Amino acid sequence: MLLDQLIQFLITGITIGAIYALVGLGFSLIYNASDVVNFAQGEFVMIGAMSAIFIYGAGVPYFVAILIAIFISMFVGVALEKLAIEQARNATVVTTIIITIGASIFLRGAALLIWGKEIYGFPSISGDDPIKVGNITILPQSLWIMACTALFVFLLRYFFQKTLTGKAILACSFNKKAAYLMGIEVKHMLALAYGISGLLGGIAGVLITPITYMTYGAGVMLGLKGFCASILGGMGNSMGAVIGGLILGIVESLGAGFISSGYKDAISFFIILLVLFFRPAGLFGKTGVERV
Amino acid sequence: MSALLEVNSVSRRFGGVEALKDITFSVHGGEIFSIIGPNGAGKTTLFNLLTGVFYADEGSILFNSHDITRKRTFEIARLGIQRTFQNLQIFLNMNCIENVKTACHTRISSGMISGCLRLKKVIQEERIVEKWAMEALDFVGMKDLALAPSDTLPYGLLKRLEIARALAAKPSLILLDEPAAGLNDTETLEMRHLIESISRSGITVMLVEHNMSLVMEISHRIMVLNYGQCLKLGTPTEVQKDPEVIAAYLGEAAG
Amino acid sequence: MRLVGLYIFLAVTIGLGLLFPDNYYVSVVGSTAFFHIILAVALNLFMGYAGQISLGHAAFFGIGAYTSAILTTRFNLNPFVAMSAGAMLTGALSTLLARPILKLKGHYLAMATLGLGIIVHIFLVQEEWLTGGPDGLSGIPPIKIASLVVDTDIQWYFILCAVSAMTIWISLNLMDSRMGRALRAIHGSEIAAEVLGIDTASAKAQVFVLSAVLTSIAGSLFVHQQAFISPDSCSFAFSVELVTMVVLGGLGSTFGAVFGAAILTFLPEFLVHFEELEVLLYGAILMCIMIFLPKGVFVSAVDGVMHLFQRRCVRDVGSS
Repeated sequence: MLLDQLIQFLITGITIGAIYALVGLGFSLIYNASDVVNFAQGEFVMIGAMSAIFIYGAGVPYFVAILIAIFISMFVGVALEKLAIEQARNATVVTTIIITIGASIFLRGAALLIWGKEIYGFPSISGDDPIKVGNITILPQSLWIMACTALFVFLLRYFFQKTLTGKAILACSFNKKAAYLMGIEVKHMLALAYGISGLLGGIAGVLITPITYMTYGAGVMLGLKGFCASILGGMGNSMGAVIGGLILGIVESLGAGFISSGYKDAISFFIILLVLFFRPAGLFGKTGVERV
Repeated sequence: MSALLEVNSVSRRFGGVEALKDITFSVHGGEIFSIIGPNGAGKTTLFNLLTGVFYADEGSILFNSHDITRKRTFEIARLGIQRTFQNLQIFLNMNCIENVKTACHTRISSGMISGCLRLKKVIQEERIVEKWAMEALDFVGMKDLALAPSDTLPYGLLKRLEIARALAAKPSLILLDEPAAGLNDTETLEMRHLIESISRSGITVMLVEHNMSLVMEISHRIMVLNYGQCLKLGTPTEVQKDPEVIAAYLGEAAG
Repeated sequence: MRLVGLYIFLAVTIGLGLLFPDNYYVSVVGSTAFFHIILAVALNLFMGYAGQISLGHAAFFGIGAYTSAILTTRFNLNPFVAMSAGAMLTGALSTLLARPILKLKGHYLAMATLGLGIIVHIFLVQEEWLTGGPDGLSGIPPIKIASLVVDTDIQWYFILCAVSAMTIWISLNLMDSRMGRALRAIHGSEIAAEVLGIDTASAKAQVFVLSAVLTSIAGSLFVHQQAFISPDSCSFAFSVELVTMVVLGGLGSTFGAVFGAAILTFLPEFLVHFEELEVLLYGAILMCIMIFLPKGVFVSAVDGVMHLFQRRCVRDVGSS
């Protein structure tokens, strides 16, 4: 009985954790490319989800609507880089944080203007009839979320390790000047990194909405969880962010199930604090040695 | 002469690389003691061990008969060791005199609350700190730039400012990490005079420097490091004559 | 000379209070601005001076506010006794947390303080028996100074004006003192600060506690002015707003924090007339200011004036 419950919570945890992983991946991608902690990451998720809902609502076929929506969040990501981050090249870290906070408020304001304050739902990819295995039930959407996350993590890894463009982005993240001297268009690469990050956000958005619904303000908490995931894994470590996201989802789900649903977020933040006290650079982050 | 600083078989590894291996030497009060060697020989690492930025894996370091091997950086500073940095570490958010005033930290004692309330003690301290800081700036010839924001100063002046800052802490030993690097000939000459006057004022100087004529002319003794090991320790003449040193570092140029 | 900015601040605020005591923007919005000024100046001690970051200061505001609210309503304690209790509780908590949290740097520190803020917020929402839950606590008595009950807007205006001035005075004093320089040195180069004999861990911990306690006192005053407190007043969004004030005005400058607080208090009052465009415009203005004046409004303006002045000096020297 307890085991069934445990497995049930684990499935919920992995589902939500996979979403956090996608958002966290977007976080670490932007952090790697430009040293910016993007507090508008959650808004990418919201924009993707809201766009899909409304394009589908306008009569466009389901998958076409999703594609357009993901494209829209990707565009928002590129626009953020071009219009804001690129303009503030010499700003300090704290200043860029405030810029992205401004961007997140702006995007939320835009969503409020276009879509209002209502709560929206979105149909699942393949229906809502739960699959039963013994005493355990799984929503088909959960499986889709896990599968899609695994696919995109794999694709992204391939992209960064095997393709020239991917390697170029990585080169920019290690040393912008050197990359520039090697003939890499750093500007384009940054825009691309933001674009991919927006794309990941959009995917997370259309995947999660059938399970949790969406409002104009729902991006804030999702963005924070993504930040948690990437910090937990070690800032800038992509695979760390994925594992961090999964851990976070599972801790949250177990905390909500066995301890208290009101305290589920407090439990996950408490765990993150504990981890940071013992490993100040996250689980997989390297502590750098300052050269003097 | 008694030894001010005693370093006993100190080693330090970074990963698999032995940055320093079994180094033993002592520095006497009042001398100018230089450390030379090719890049990566372990010179700055040695300074980092002496100031507690890193700790030695083995061996011990005694300063003024205090064991400082495991002491933290600020505790070592309070015992009287100061240093400058190869990559300048000026507080760019402060002007020149504030940089120097900061160094008087250990010579005064008011805490945060008295600072907030600006008690009488703080006002007195500020007056004396102002005087000390001006003296230190005057010593390096930067009295007129006291109120200049430090982020607008040229490189040569920043190097002087860093020395003024170290001096304002009233050290008995000062470690200078490549003070002449990046300076032109005139500035190098001025730096030489500055180092000599520091030494004359009774402060023991340890110097890491690549400018050989500077090192040879002002040092009392020189230690040559190569791949983390001590190749030779002696007077400038002894070092210059040593065949091993010539092969490893000085080459023909210094001949 | 050192306190000239404070005198100008006092002259302007007292003048406004005397001239327009019944004006909504002076007595009501002005009082809110004073709260934000106290909070922003206190946060600037930690962020601007010492170069750290906190995304959780609303937690300390909440602890002060709720301690005052609970002790005065349930136990009939004198508001000033309750305020001191809140300050002591905040002091104890921040002292306890300072060392482990301040070992962290940059984004990790941001995360840890953010987590702290959210945990406190969730506690305030969940523990209904103590905090009234999401609905909060109401009926909090006003404060009494001698026999004067402070309950009109303009009375609060002058009291908060005095407290703001005191906070600014503290901040300016600290700037030119042994520990103030130590903090700014940590901001400039932590390693160089250590080498100069500064116990950086202790200095950071001290300023964290100082900043937290001042924030807590502001929280206590807030509940007595509002006669009401709910968890919404100490949410993550509020922490972010405080950081934004400090950075918007100009990190590291006391009057930068004052300006940032004033701007972010009056901006929404002005934007409210744009109705549904409000949020959008707020975000856009925030972004634009930070993109075009990355050092903050006040610091950029001072730099600009100095620059102009220096150029004129150079020209004068050149022509003479």
